[in-house]
Amino acid sequence: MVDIGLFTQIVINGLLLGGIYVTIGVGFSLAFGVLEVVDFAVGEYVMVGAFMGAVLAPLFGAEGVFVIPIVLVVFFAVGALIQPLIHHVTTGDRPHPLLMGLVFTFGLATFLRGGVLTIFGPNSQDVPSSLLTGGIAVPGLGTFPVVRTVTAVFGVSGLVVFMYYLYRTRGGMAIRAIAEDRTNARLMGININRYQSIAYGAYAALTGSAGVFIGMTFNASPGMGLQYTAFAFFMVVLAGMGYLPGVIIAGVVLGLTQSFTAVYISGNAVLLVLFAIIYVVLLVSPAGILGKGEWAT
Amino acid sequence: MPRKHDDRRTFLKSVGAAATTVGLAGCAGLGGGPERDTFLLGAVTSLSGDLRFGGGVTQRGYDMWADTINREQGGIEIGGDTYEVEVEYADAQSNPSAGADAASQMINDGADALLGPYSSNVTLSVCPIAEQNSMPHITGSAESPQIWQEGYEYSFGTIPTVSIIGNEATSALLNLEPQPESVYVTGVNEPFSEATAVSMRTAAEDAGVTVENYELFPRDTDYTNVVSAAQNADPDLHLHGGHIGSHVDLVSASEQLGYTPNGFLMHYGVNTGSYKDGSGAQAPYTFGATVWIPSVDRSGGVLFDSPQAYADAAEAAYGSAPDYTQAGSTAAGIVYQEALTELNAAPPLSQDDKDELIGILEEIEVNTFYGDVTFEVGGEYHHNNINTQTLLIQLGEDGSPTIVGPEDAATGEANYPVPAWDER
Amino acid sequence: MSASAPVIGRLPGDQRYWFAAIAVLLLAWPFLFGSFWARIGLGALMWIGLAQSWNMIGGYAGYLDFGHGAYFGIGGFAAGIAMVQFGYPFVVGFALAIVVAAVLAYLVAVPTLRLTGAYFAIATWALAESLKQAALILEITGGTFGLSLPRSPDTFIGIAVPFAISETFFYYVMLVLCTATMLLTYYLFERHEFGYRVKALRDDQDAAESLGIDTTRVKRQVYVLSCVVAATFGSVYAWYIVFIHPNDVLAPIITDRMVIMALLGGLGTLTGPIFGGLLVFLLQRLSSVFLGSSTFYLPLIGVLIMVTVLFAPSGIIGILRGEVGRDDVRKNLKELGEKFDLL
Repeated sequence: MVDIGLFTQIVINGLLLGGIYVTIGVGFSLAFGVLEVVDFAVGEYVMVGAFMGAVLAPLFGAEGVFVIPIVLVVFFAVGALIQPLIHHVTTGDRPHPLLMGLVFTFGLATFLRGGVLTIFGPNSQDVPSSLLTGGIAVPGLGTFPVVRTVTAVFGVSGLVVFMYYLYRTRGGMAIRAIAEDRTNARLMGININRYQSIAYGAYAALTGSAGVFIGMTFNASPGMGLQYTAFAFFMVVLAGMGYLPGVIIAGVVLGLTQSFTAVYISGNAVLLVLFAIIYVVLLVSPAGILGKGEWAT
Repeated sequence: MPRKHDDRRTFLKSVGAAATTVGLAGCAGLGGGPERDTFLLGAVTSLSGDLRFGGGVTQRGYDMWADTINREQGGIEIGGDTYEVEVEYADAQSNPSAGADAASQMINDGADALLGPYSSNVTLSVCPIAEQNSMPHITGSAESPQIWQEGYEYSFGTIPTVSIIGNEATSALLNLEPQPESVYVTGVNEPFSEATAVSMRTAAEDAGVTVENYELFPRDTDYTNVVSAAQNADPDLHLHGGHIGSHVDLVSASEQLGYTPNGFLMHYGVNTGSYKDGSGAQAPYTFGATVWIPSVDRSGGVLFDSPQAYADAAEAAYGSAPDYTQAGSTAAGIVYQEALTELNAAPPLSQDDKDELIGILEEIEVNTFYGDVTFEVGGEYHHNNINTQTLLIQLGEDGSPTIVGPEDAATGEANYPVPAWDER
Repeated sequence: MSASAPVIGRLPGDQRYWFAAIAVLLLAWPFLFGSFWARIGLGALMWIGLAQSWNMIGGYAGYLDFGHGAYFGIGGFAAGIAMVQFGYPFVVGFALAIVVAAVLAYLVAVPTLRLTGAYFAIATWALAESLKQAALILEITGGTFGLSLPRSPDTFIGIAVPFAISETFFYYVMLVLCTATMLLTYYLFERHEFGYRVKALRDDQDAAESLGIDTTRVKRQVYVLSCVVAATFGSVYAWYIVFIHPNDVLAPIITDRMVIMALLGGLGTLTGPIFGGLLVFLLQRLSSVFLGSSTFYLPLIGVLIMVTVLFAPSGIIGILRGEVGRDDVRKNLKELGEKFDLL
């Protein structure tokens, strides 16, 4: 192999890695922008999703892909029931509503992580899949790992579906109205509880099934959530808080930065570079690299 | 302003409540007098947190020793009487600060000696506590060379430092035919893993093999980039220092990108259930390093007749095959048992007894199912048992390990070069 | 404890006895209960102090600093580097920790405090994580291998001291630091005009400015102060625990714990962090005593946090003040129930 081969492979790796981040970033951006929830539990939804994959896949012919519909339904329902709690702690006459939301979801994250650790133990578990194995070698470009490619496609489709729902349906209009002004939306007769729960449920469902894909790509372990929480934050900062289309750009930037730093600078410096970028972007352009983030506290 | 008064009253109420809490906590700690007719060993190990898996392994190892000696011999015989052995656990919570507190708790509870924690970071904060309290401390798991280079007087270890294990396993692997000409070395940037990666690199350099690259990265990195860079370098062997989770990520990414060097050598723990569960179909053919597996040919001795006898007993007790950390932990107990017998002092041990025990440990030579244990005195790895032979193992199709090197210990042929991912 | 005399002087009679009793208990603690409980005591004191340091910026000033733990690690590494790499005694390391933390905190404060809310929280968190990653790469911090600090009697002030550098010693150091932090908080935030400026800034920045308060200046002062306090504890901790590693002393969990402690205790109150600190620290440390080797305490802490946020947002202090009576909980439940009206 010559170096140009490595270069194109690094681009592929970066883009597909970005695809994984997109699957997490889409729902999180929705929660962040539309619901004004800074959700510390996001990584733990990924983790629980991955564990559902590990536990349920053996019941479905050792195929993680078949677990995804179940995860979608379960997470939607659970998410829809968690949202009222979050709504409760971030509104009313409480001091520091933002902090309350942060800390409540932090408690939720601790609960989920500790619960899974207590029930399943600390070991990594394989999420089996026979459909999504190996890679497809494209001559002249490099290898596309099947599972990562499918994950990226899933993430981008999730984004398209969310965008369609938000901008082309009545429900989406209601959610946007709530994001714009909660009080006004209520006066216009919108059941804000209902639509907020739908939005949060959709976010949880997408993130949980992202967890199954991530489980198939890597594996499921009780401690995996923290890093995905970090990446979810990266995504919304780069995309611009609450700006959904920015998620794609953010994923590409994040994935490529990570790949190129790892290979051409130093594997050791990857996280340093990423965190430093986040810090600088926040200082220089708090509305994201495209400057289109809308939501501010 | 009535508010001010409120604040003050609240302040006092709160201080009162605080004192009560602290007081209650204090009383809870006053149990456990010096009168005892058992040997009390305080075991500090991570029973919760990230290191809980390894913590559980050491716990099974220590329990295995205590249960067996109490059941078969009624304990340790001192001057005609037998004294049962009791192992008390304190949770290091996978965190050095909690580990140090846990060691102190054991000492406070009047332990006669300490059994050490899992992981080098926690061990490095427990050793000073043992030192400060002049408390004998044997660890059955920590492998970082730093521990022994500090030269602690009261701490001992039954497992050779990874500088030795990693080095010898790599050397054995480099002797396989067709002889490898290049290696690619990676490691996670935490103390144990870096020490492992360094030892692998050193072994390769000493053998005159080209080291294509040596690269450390954080645990949470994405491994496709590591793999692509390695694939581009096209080495004969890939050597990796890390904990089990990182091995799993590495083989998954390799499978996805179709990266197949002639073999992967990873340390620590490829023959654990955790690695097999995590990597599933990708586990077979991985090379690993160890100093003990059930099928190894060692003479046996105190308490267990042979490695296999130990493995069977452990399997019967816990339903899972023991690895070398568990064996090393049991061996730590056996070393205490022999040293205490030689000390010939009834529990509880006085400070003089403990100091004498250190002298005995420095001289001791115990033949166990785990191998012959002696501790180096002085030298680079002070108080580390560096004599137990390193074994190069390889996982078979069913995930069970076979010893494939070094030559004098091998019980089977290596499957080398290993088959490509799509030919399995 | 002569420094606390003015506080005692203003207290009514019987409360003064309470205060004196607690002071005596705290002073006699290591002698009453021995070295293990001295460790638990000093751990509790340290976490109370750290929670208070977060409370300064997070509670009183309302800036959600999610990178505060970094200063704990910076203090630890400053002391560690001074002692290990340069062979200075601890007092020099301690001074260095204060200087480094103050300078760094000021440099961070200038650009970062322009952000608010979640932006500030994420920015500080990202900065703290990059510092941790840098510490893992740099040579001076010991990189991946960490640092082992010396503990012989001459490492305190440069010449041999006539007492052991033991748990008891560290207990009193922490006691002094924690008491000093409490008194500082009391005078600065509860008594001094500075405190009113800080609270005014938190409650309404525009209004504070219209009153002639230089909010930028006040924010920076609080931030630097709170960071320096965290660094002092970090430097003592490093010497006490002997071995420091970026993954331990710069871990995000340190910040998380400070936030949880301050919040559970009661934000922006003097005594909240005492309760929050004690409760969370003891729950964690003593969980093995009560729950054996189970990790069950983790989900338990999670539930505790969620329930507190739901029903007692003003923390333990709020409960003691009677803000979380039966009626409040009932009202809370009713409002919560209404939010489940999803169809």
